[in-house]
Amino acid sequence: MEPFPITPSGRMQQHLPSANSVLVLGILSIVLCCCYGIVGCILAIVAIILANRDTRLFHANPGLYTESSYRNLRSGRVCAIIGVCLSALYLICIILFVVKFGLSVLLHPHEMQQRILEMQHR
Amino acid sequence: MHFDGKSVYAAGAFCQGLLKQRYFLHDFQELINFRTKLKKLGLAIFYHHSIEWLQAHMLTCWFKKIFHVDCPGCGFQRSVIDLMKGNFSASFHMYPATGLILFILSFTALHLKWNFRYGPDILKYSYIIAASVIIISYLIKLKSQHFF
Repeated sequence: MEPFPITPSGRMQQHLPSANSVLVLGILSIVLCCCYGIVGCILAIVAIILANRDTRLFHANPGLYTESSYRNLRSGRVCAIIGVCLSALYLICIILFVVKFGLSVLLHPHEMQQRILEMQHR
Repeated sequence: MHFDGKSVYAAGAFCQGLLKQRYFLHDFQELINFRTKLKKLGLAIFYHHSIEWLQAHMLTCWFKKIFHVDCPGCGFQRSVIDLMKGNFSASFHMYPATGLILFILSFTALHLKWNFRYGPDILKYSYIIAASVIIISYLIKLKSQHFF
């Protein structure tokens, strides 16, 4: 971390409280969205909520917080938005599958596989 | 005695200890070479064992298990193992975004440590590229499986 710059008014600037955690959560959301969908969704939504809170903090008192942490926050927010889009797509995909084939087929994986194979070789 | 990575590395470190105690001051350079060779061998064997461990402990994709169709993340573990083995083209064909994702993860760690000036922008754009690569490669994969 670079040393905290001092504002003209003499107060020491500080990092935004959750800038780094927003960045990490946003980046983890894309890594985990491909694993199980719902994990990435939760992480990304938490990141977006934290980012919104910190953006409000920064705009209430821009001189008090460092510029670098604000840039971290913004890029973390973009990452989280992309992550939530991907995980939402993934979840919608699963829901479409369930709607298309019915819940009862999910309990019998073999039948499910056969139906999908039929669909593929149509 | 079996030669796993740890024991060979420990042998290299033991030679280092002997050097420090100045038992073998003659053949100094030769001993240094031997020590470094042993250490490298130990690291290589450890690396090989870790690849084997990863191959034995792969997670199953429940999406693929239930629906019999690949999910957007299918192939990532296999491509990481290919990357560790050095088969770059096989890794890329298995899952094109692997290198980018690993770069993003490592760069995030470095960025949190040293706070680079253009770090956030690099992360943001590489993240957008990785997401688009994942989606496009997934569509191509589905197309190649005659899914639509």
